[in-house]
Amino acid sequence: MFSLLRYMKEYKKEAILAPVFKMLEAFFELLIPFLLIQLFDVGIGEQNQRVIWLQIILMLIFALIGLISSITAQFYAAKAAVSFTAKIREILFDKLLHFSWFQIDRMGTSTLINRMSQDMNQIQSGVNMILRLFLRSPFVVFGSLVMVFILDRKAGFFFVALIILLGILVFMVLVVTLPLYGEVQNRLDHMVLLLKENLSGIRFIRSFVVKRQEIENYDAKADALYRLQKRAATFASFLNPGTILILNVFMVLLLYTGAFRIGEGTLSKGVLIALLNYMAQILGEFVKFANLMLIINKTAVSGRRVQELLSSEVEVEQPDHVFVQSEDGTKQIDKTAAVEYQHVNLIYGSNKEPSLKDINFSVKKGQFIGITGPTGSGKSSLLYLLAGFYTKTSGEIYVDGQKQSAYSLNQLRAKFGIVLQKTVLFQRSILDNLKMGKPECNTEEALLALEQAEALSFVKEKMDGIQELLYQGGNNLSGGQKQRLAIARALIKKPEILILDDCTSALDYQTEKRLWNTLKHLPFQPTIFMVSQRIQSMDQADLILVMDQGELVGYGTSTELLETCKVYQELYQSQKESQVNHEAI
Amino acid sequence: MKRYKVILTMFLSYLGAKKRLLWLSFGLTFLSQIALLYLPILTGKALDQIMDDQIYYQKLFVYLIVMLLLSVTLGAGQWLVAKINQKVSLYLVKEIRKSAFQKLHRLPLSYLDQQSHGDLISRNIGDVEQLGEGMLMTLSQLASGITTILVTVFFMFRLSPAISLVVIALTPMSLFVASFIAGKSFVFFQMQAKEKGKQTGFVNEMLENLKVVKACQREEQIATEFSVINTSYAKTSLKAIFYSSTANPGIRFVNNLIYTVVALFGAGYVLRGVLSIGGLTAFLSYANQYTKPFHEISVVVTELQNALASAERVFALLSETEVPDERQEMVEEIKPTWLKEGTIELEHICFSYDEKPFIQNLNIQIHAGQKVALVGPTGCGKTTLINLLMRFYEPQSGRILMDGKDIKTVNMDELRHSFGLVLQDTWIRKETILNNIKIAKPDASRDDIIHAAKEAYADYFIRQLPFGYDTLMEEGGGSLSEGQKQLISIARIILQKPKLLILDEATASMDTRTEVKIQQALSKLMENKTSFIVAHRLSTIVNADVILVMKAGEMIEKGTHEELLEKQGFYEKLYYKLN
Repeated sequence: MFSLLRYMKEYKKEAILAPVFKMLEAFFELLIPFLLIQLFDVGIGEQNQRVIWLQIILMLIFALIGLISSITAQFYAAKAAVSFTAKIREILFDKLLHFSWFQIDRMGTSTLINRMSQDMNQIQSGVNMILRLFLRSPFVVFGSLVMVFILDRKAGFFFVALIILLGILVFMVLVVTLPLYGEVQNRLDHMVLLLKENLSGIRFIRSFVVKRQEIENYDAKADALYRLQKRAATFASFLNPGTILILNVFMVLLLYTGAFRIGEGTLSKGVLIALLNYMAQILGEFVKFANLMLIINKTAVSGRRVQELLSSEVEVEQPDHVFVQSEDGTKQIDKTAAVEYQHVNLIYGSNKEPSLKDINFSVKKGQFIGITGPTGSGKSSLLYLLAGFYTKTSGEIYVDGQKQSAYSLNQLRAKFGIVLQKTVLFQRSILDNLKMGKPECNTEEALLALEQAEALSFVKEKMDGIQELLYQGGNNLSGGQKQRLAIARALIKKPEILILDDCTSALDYQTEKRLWNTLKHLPFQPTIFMVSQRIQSMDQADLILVMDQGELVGYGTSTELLETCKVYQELYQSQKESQVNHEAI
Repeated sequence: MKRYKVILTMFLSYLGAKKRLLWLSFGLTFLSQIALLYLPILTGKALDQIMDDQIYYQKLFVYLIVMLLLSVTLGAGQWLVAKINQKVSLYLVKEIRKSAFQKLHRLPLSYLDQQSHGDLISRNIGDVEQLGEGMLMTLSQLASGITTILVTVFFMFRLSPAISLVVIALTPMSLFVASFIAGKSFVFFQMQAKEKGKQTGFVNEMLENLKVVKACQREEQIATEFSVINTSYAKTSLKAIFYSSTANPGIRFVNNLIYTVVALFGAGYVLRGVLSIGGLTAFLSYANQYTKPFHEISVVVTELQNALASAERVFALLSETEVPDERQEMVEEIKPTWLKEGTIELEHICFSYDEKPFIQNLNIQIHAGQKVALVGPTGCGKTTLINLLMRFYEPQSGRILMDGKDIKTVNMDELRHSFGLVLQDTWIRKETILNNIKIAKPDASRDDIIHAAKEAYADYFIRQLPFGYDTLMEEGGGSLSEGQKQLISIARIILQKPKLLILDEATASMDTRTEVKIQQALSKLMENKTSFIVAHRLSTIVNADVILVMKAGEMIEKGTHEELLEKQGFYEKLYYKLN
């Protein structure tokens, strides 16, 4: 949590001025009892009207100065808290954008979203309160203490005991509640997950008739959270009554000893009243202080959750403009090859089995490569590794005759146009969706890309054409239309390498055929990798890679593979048998 | 005003069991506030015993002992109040969350399909939390605030009616400051809420689709767009926070003014001997206490406005119309014995989406044990038909008979349990693989589950995972391929052993080799069972006992593959277009 504080640097001025002005306000408040002593001892005691008026006027002036400095302090506190949080939010969001695919999968988006919103809000209001109070409260407490020492040394020690006792109370409550609040936050995350899953799987829940189990499960989670929160509340509830009780007991003790000392003549009556007044002030501030500690508590929990993200490592970014020839880069590399894999292995996170095993192949520029193989055989992993979304465990990948690691991630990815299996469109206009592929594109380029992706005809039919606004997730388009827009988004960039990951499943046969035809004759002649499970799609390819259980088991044209590759034969056979060589209806 | 009344009624119904506790809390609050305010009087009285030229020790001790006893009781009382208030609001939060969750399971799918999931979740979590906080604030501040004002006025009058009148005369000043600032800042708070919604929406969309953002290399652009939204949110946020935070100093200033005026008048009264010095100290302390609640109540009112907005959203969800039959008592044990043969008849079915007629007068007869293929272009009504069969959606008119029974007369749970459902969109939970399959049959043993996985050809890849069947899945299934997720879906059905099957593009993401194997398993499963199959691939369709060709909500052709080819209709065109 404290390492977040470095982002406060830019707002140092505000962060310092806020508590300083708060202290100024407190300082003038502390002077009030002094004025009261004058009022009682001199003004009333000696019946001096002038002194009374003087004190009254001073009290008014102090109140006014207090008001002005307090408002100034509130402004700076708000400014510092808001700017600080906005800054972190921006840095955090930027960080999240650079998370690797693996990290996104592992963490899940719901906790990322929670941390970006809920936790950041908690930090903002927490920092605001802390800036307002963290100096003021201790200042009032210790200021009162100093004043008390000035007035009467004996009473001073009495006050020290009081403050220590209150400190112990606050500390104990915090020690008990801090871990409880952290746990509460985690459980809330879990309830969000349950809700999410129940909503997305509602059809399955209703068809398996497990509604009762789901409700019982959620109820149990809600009950457990309730018990936990109640326990935290039981301890937290000690804070205010405990503080007030301790103070009242000390008040009685003060009156008791005070009475004797006045009897002895070692204490003036005015001083006793002032002491009581300071005690009241300490009470007020300590209650605030205790509540502030609870806020700090919650803020610390949120701060830790945010810090955890900020300090996690992002994808390895090579420094830009490295583009250097590596020493062993001279090792028989085919310079005309667009892509070459040498002994590449990939093991995901903590998996036992490698997802890719000793992959070797080479592809020439402008070739149309088909990749096929059974479910989960590593087809997609092979390509996402190439574009730098996953990091290989060992081996070497060459892109354009250079080691993959010689490129910065940006340089590397700039070469690729990628269409994922799961179509994603954004809630903005069609043109703006295409601009995701190439921000500086003009309308002509957009229309051309749409045409190349066989999407122009249906876009033209839309009421606002290319400016048509898409719903969330592109839900005002059919599945096939969505896929074609996603392809156009990849084409508009004129990439050197185009990756199409099984992204034509919703297209009808003829559209798909036309699409392949256009793609093969694109003016910018990209190297194309097309993943598909259907053998007949492979007819388009110049070269076919066959994957099975993470291994490259076939490499060649369809005819060659039918003779040499067992997996390919099986795939081919299975489709023949079931007459799958007819495409979709 | 009327809608607030509705909210209040619903709200009170949730408090139900805790109403007594609440009254206890009110009573205790009232008593503690009186005790809290009576303490300064005692302090004043005690001081008076000292302030004279002579000190009356005995009387002083009596006062001090009373003070001590009162303090202890006060402490206990306040603790109890805090505990009860927390308990009641936490209880409320818990109960409302539970019923909002149950509500989700009672709402028609036609409603749920249209709602944004993020919004439904934030109603259950965020809004309910806000409501609870508002409740806690109100409980702990409002009652004590009002008591404080009333009691201080009473005590002040006893001490000196004249100065009290002065204090009360100054009250409108602090009310004015409070309401002025609250009104101003509420507008800014509304603006802030709007900006916040915009920001959350953006963050949501981008984080959910982070992979595409990265594939398009738009990190920089998205970061810039976010920066703009973030800056404008920060601006309104600053305004909202600053304006609302001037309330505290403003009211404190008024407070100080009142304090000064009391000191001035008080001094005069003491000089004239109308008031004791102890009385004046007590009065000063009351003047201090008197103004505080005005500030607190103004804070509560803002918080309450916030909570009320949330309450409206929560209770709107809770009062959505339910499907009557989803409410049916959940049966203890599902006995799908109602269905023996598996004949299905659709009679004069009409169905409309948002009052736009879609299916009109659809009549279909299906014999027991037939494999039915549904064929037709996207949006032709295949999925709607499935929704109607499983009673996810209700037809506007007409009826569906299974084994001659109107399905409306069949227990909803038993009806649905007879179906095995596999959809193209798979559903993987953040649970172990084992539990993910088990959901189809919660009482299945580990062996049963592994057996089902083997039959679904899922065993092989599951064993390769780090912890095999006990590997915890990521949210949404993370690193599994779409095809692997479909294998898990099929393993569930094999475990469930349903009487009827619905396979909606169930094998779309699989490679053909796996698909062929899976088809064998599925045909075994489909033996003698009425089944519905939606598929893109002809292989699956050709082997069906009967093919229903649909177009724009109508069944235009029906028959076997050969019959339909002979007919030379729409199906024949579709078929030959591809050859």
